[in-house]
Amino acid sequence: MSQQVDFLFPRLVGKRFDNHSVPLDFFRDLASMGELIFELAKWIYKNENDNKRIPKKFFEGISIRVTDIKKGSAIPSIVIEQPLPPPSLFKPPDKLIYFEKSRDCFFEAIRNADEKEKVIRFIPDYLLRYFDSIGRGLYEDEYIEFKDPKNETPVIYNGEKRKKLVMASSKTKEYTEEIELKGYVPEADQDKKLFTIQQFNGQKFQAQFYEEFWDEILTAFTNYEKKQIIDLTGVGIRSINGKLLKIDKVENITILDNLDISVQLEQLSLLKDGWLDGKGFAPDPIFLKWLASEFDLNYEISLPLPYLYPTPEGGIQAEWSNAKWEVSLQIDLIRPTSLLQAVNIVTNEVQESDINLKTISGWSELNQILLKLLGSSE
Amino acid sequence: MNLNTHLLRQIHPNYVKDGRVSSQAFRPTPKDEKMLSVDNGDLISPDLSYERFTQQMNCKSVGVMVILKKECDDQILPIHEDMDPYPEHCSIDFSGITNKIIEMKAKILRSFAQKRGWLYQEEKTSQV
Repeated sequence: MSQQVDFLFPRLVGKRFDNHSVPLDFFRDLASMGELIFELAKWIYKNENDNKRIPKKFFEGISIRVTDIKKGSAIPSIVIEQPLPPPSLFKPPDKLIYFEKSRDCFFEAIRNADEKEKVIRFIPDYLLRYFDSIGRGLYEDEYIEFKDPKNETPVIYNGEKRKKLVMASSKTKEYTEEIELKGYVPEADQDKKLFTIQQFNGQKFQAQFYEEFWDEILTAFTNYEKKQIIDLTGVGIRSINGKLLKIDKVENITILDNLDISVQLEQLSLLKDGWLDGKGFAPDPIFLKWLASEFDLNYEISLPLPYLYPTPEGGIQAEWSNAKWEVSLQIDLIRPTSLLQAVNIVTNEVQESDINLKTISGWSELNQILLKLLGSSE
Repeated sequence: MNLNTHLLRQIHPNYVKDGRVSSQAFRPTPKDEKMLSVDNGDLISPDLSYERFTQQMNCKSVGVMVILKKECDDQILPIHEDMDPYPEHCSIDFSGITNKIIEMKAKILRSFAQKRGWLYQEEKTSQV
């Protein structure tokens, strides 16, 4: 027989966790959190008992488990499960108290993540490495919120705090992070299972690959001159100042269309003022990020992909062509609407519309016009 | 200059994506006072035109595309053999028309030039 005691209710906040769901990957993070709590409980026991060895079987049978995903943004219910003691005249030692203290230390370390000296009061140097794998996959706008039974203010854990906690260890010179890189493959060695990815800014990284990605690597390598692009996701090692030092693990490789909109916009984000022989303003990176997200959400998937070019004023001109029509859409930050112009190169007929890309109806209008002029790419 | 004279236009690398040239390469920028610079193909070869543009004038180009004089005539775009700043220089005149009409005419010139392809290209095409 065993009993379960409520222990932690981390609320995962962010778009990915809406609809009462948690990505499978995140359970790895929870597992690391559980291991840290366990190791901390042992450290606290030793501290309180003159560094004595932990009695054999003291923590035996105790486990940290997820029992449910509660509605909220998404809240895994984490409990401590421990075997019920056999009937006895003597009161058994309260082992759970060490886990509660461990949770307190975990919370206090997060609250004080900005101050290295305080962090190591709550978590010893050698256990801080666990933070490397807790929340590694959190996106910029995501965080974990813990309710603290001893404090009304919840504990907030995000990517920034994770980084600070990993760095609080005197042993840490670098940390790992989930990465996504786009680029070309100028070198590949099937024998050594090594290849090189060259980013759009020219920076190169070598990585090991598994056999399952060989087709993608070979395709990108043989089409290097044609600028074939791959999207690599995996784990990278960064220096204390955030610089990517090397690729630790490749998790996925995808061949991208050279006209992939996010790729084109990422390439355009590298432009600097003066890109047009001394003239020409560089597009604003925030504007490009917004545009990438809007295209991703609203652009009709069956339409041909646009060719994207910078304009001297810092905007973007999207263009499409077929045998009859030459179409352009001038998008910038200043004007509230974007000018769509289509010219029939056979009849010289011209169609023009002002499209508001800040509204869903504007995108719907754009999609309808393009479908009519260009048809579907499928 | 006759109807079939090649008007040589240098193409900036940022105006080429996956081999397709932007219509912006065939319209003057706002600072060009509505004059589009080209070289008279009767007087200079495309490779020398490219060499002068990239090496002497220190401007960027991935190659040379061509518009015919008659294509400009059809669009009612006058060509001035202004010979400034060098003897082979000409200007295609977009003055007196609105920006929307300029964009329209640039699209038509682009489609002719793109169909014809590159008259001269640097060895390794660089793109954004």
